[in-house]
Amino acid sequence: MRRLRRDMERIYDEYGPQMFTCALSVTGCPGLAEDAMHEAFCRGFRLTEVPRNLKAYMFRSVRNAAIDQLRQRKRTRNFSEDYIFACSEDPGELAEQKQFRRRAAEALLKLSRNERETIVQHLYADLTFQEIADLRERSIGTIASWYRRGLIKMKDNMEV
Amino acid sequence: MDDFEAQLKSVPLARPSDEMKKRIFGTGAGRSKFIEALRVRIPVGWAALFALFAGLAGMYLSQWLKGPVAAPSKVVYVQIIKARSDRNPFDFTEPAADFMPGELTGRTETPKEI
Repeated sequence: MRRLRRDMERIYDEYGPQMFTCALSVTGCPGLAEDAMHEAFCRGFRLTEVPRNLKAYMFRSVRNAAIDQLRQRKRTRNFSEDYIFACSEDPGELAEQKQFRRRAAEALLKLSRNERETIVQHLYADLTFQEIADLRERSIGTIASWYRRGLIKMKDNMEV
Repeated sequence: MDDFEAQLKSVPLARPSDEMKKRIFGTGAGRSKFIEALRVRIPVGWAALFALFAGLAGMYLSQWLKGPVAAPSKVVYVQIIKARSDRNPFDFTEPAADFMPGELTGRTETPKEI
């Protein structure tokens, strides 16, 4: 099982931020997202054999753990203003960029859960539609539909 | 990917804390490598052979460091030359009336230190 641990560490190094973004898109809270990631990897360490697609398995596990975190804490989503985006303290950041980030976060939060998660997973976590379909156990058409519909809603909300 | 998607993607994302990896994988990279090294499985036969050689090496090393365990005592060899006698000359169970004929020579020899 040393191989499993090594592979999991490699996946963390390559996709850790994306997994965190996925978890954050569910929990809306960085602390809970980190707890979810920790729990997902602990579950992974207990595996007796290496899954065929470890990357997909870990993304699914992180998402499930994030949902569990919400259930266990009996918390309703209380998304921060920046949502999944970095809270920039850079004074040099243009007001226009700051404004765009805030509007994007607001627009994402107005979407349905499926649309929001799909956009985050595809656009920010770099998962393909097929990978998201496997992860969510839905058809690829449904995923593509959620994504397109979500983007259109965001454009309307942001008046782009 | 259209311009809107590209613009959305350009927004920097929140990242997990620097402690996250240590929290998941337990320790820093250096120590985890040490633990990995400890987890290497060795066949029992090789382990037994290694333990045997280690024991022998330890034994010889301790002797080499401490020197001989006990100083050898001098050994006296007695050799009877031309002693024609019916009785055993070393039989002292009864007093002998006469001295043994022939020549009696003695030599001492100290064995070399082990």
